[in-house]
Amino acid sequence: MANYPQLDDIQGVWKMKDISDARKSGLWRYIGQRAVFAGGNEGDVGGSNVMDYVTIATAGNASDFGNLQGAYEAAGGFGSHTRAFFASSASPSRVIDFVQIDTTGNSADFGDMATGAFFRGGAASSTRGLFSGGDGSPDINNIEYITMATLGDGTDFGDLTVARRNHGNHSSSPTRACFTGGQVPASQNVIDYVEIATTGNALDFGDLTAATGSVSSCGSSTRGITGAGYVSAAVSTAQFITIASQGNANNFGDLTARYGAAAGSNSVRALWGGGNTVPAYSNVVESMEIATGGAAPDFGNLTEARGNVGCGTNGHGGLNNGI
Amino acid sequence: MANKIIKYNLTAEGTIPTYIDDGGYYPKANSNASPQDWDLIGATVDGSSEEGLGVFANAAAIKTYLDTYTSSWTTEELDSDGTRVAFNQTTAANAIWTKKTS
Repeated sequence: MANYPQLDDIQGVWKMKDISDARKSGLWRYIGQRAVFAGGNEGDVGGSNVMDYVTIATAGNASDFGNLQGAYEAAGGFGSHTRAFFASSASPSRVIDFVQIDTTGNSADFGDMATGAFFRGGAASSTRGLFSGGDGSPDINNIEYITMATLGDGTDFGDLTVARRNHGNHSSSPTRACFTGGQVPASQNVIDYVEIATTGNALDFGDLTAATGSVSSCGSSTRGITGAGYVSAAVSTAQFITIASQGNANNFGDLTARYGAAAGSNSVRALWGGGNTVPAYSNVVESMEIATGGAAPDFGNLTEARGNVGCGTNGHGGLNNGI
Repeated sequence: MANKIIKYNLTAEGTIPTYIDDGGYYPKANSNASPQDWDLIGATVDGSSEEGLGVFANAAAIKTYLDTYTSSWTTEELDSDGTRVAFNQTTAANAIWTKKTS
């Protein structure tokens, strides 16, 4: 029998409660497989309240998940092992929605952000979620955090080095979040980072290969992948960073050219869903293997074509130490 | 005690200078090496004597400065068909100037 409980060796006899506790605290070496895509812009008919989900390990079309509290452009978002969160973007809103990832129900109110803005970014560890920047007229530099296991309002964490919006999802390890690209409204190449467990201002990490806005990132605990976005038009470029070491991004492969897609991962496979392919909004989900990169094969379709989508997963790099 | 609206760079270590209370606005590329390759606009902490790369006297001065490098900037409208509209330098300058608290 394994030395009980031994978290670096999950074989052996375990109590169900200990497994549950270990998963919720991010210590269980478990890779969640669900990505929830939420809200977005359907075009000039306004925002969407649609949520849909895919199983990241298995290519296929998305299934309906339930509805957001309102019709939002919910750019940003992140997930814990059990919940996904979206800072809704309704002219500019302070609402934080959350869902239980393992269910397919409607979202519920978690609390409010301290600062109203839309087009925020999001990143998380297993316990703490961060919302970054956004358009608060002017663009804001605020990073706020929530403790995902509770309900409550956002709390000031510190400032980005560059106030910006439209940087969707971000890559993270269990300890570090990297905020990548965005718009001021001109597209930016900046990457800055924070240590999630502490509070404080962001520090410069390096630069993207090109200034890119309306961009979204995800990854494993070691590698962050930033894909597609807006330079002076929609671009297809994917690029990667090594989260533990500061430095510039390098080319990683290509997606379909689009901006305002949402990104999420199971720490092995990265997905980008939706976005604006000009002149049409996209329902396409594409995947990329985080270890290898290259061309992104088609994964399936969202239930509705939309851009500026939010995404939260229960398997991203911030949840899986060493995966 | 008073604060100022100034231009500044990040420190050589890539951190936000300690004399900046609220900054990172409207970066303008310069010829410095990273991470000091952007001139940023921000409000200093109350009582700081730091002037960074220069102090703005008023909102009109910020607008004049923004006009020198933001003429091609566009921004995406919410709930639109992807339409982008021109960046409004006057609105941006006034918003930054409101960060001067005293």
